[in-house]
Amino acid sequence: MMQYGLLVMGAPYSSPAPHSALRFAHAVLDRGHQVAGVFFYHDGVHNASSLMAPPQDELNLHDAWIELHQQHAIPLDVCIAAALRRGLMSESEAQRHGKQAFNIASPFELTGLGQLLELQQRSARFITFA
Amino acid sequence: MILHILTKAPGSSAALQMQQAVAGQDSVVLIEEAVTAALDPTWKAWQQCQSRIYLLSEDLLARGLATIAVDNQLPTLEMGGFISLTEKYEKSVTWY
Repeated sequence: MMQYGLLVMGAPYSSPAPHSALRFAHAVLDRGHQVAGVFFYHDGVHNASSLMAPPQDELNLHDAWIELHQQHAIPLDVCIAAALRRGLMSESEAQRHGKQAFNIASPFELTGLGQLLELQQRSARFITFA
Repeated sequence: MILHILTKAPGSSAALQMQQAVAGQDSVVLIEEAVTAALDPTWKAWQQCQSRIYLLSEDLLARGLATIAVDNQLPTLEMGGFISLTEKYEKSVTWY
């Protein structure tokens, strides 16, 4: 059994990267491995938006990531710098920046690049989806 | 030994960079738009990588290219096969 780390850099519905990463994560788990964490970076931070509302007959990637977390306790880390400059923030960051709304909530966690490096170090395999 | 993961079409700069980087014992998995390589049997990478280049079957199906890959006898793998390659290769590079 190996630990896999995943880096997602594509935005949902404009890039196939998040869907590929999600399918890959499920396949990793099906093979008996573990996913040590998923790190969302660059446009991949949009996966964490709780305001995502695709048509009902399409996969809701935000919800699919949460389901993956709930079933397997996989950390979902979001680069805070990439998120803030794209208008994605948690409640505490919204308060800090004087914004009226927020769109990132648990289990997605705003973190720094240190978490990305830590995930790479914890993972026997680190796969990028961009 | 490196596993190369190409996500862009054969004519892309990502594909050209990958072709320059692939070495003797490396393998290549074509995913997402890269599976359009099934439409181009003359693509240099088919010769360059020979038996070590694979198309992800799920992405072929999603683009209506599964039959073409079979007709051209191109090597495909399921997502499980993709995982097997990541088990074999400690390092991977994604070209995008």
